[in-house]
Amino acid sequence: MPEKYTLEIITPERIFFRGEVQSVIIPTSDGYMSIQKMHEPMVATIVVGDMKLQIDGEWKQCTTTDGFVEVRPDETIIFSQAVEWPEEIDLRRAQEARERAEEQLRQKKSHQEYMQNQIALARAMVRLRVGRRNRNLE
Amino acid sequence: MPSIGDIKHSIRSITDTEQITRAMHLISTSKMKKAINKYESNHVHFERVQSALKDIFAHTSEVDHPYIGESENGRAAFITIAADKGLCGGYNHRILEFAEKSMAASEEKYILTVGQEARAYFERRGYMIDVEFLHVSQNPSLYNARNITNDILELYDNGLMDEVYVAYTQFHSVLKQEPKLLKLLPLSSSNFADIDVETQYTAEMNYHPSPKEVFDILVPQYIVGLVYGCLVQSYASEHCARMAAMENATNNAEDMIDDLTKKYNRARQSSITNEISEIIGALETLS
Repeated sequence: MPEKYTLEIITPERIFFRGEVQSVIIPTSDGYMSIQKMHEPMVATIVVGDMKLQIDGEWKQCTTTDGFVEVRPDETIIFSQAVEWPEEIDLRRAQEARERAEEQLRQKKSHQEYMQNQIALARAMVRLRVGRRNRNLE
Repeated sequence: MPSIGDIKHSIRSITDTEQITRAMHLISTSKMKKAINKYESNHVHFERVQSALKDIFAHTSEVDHPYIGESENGRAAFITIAADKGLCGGYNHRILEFAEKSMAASEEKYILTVGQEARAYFERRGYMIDVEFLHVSQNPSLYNARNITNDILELYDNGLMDEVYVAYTQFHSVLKQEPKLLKLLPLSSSNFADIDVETQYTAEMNYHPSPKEVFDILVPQYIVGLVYGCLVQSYASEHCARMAAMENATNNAEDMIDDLTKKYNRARQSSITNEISEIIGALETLS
């Protein structure tokens, strides 16, 4: 089993996680990336998707929106706009957000608005996917 | 000496005002508690994201990116965050005067305002307001912070401005808040001069996938976080200031009512004394 290191996940609205993990798998623009102890110092971007933490050998899943990760020798910090455990996801709200984003995408809008709606849609989709599929059982 | 009727009238009107200030005090107290909760959950992010950025800069040699470096032309944009309403003591006045002073140095400037009071202040002084963000001051949410960031970045990306600052009220405690200017763009290591970073290592940072793509995403994220933090802190400061102001107003009203009640009683007593002496006088002349 990989060695433990300190991981912090911070969003503007709360400290989502702070503690020891063995591994974290983050969604980046070119696929998933796993970070373990002794990873070289790095800054990477995180895209909307699902993230997995290995705590005491157990894998836990959560959703994340866009953000970035700073890997330092002493600890790893993930900054993201919003991170949620599956049990915190409000499926109905996510469904509404998805419908809203799809509706917005159907209308012809500027490029920038199009991109924003794409991101909003991606956020809603990942929430729905993770929220429906699994709940981390305590 | 004012008549009994006059005194009674002013007592009634001060009582009415006191009721209003007392209600506003209670409202601000509960809003302040909420705002402080928001601040508590945000301030870790606010500090950590700045120290992370400083750390990143410390371990990066040269990056060529429009968001990074020192700007050459002096076209600066100032976002000023004030309240939507007055009646909060010196809060609006302090931040607005501070913002005006800070922007005096730059010749060509854009003014972006959050809050009705900020707009009114700059309009009164004959400034042109370029962008006004409505309904944000009373509702500091990530959604609003994201909208503000998108607007700023659009202007910045189109080359309309070279520097972006935000003037907000930094929240220290319920009793202490102070106006502060924060530079959002462009980023350089001088932005983080007053931030401590505790790590001591000299390795060079790696960027995944590439420095450009990382900063393309990292900088807007960083700005959303900071703008949200500034909104939250300003909101908390506003409600603390309003709570203090309304508490003072209520106390003053109580003092005035006490004072007037004394005067009223004295006036009433003297009129009674007058009447009695008139009756006695009349009796004496009759007998």
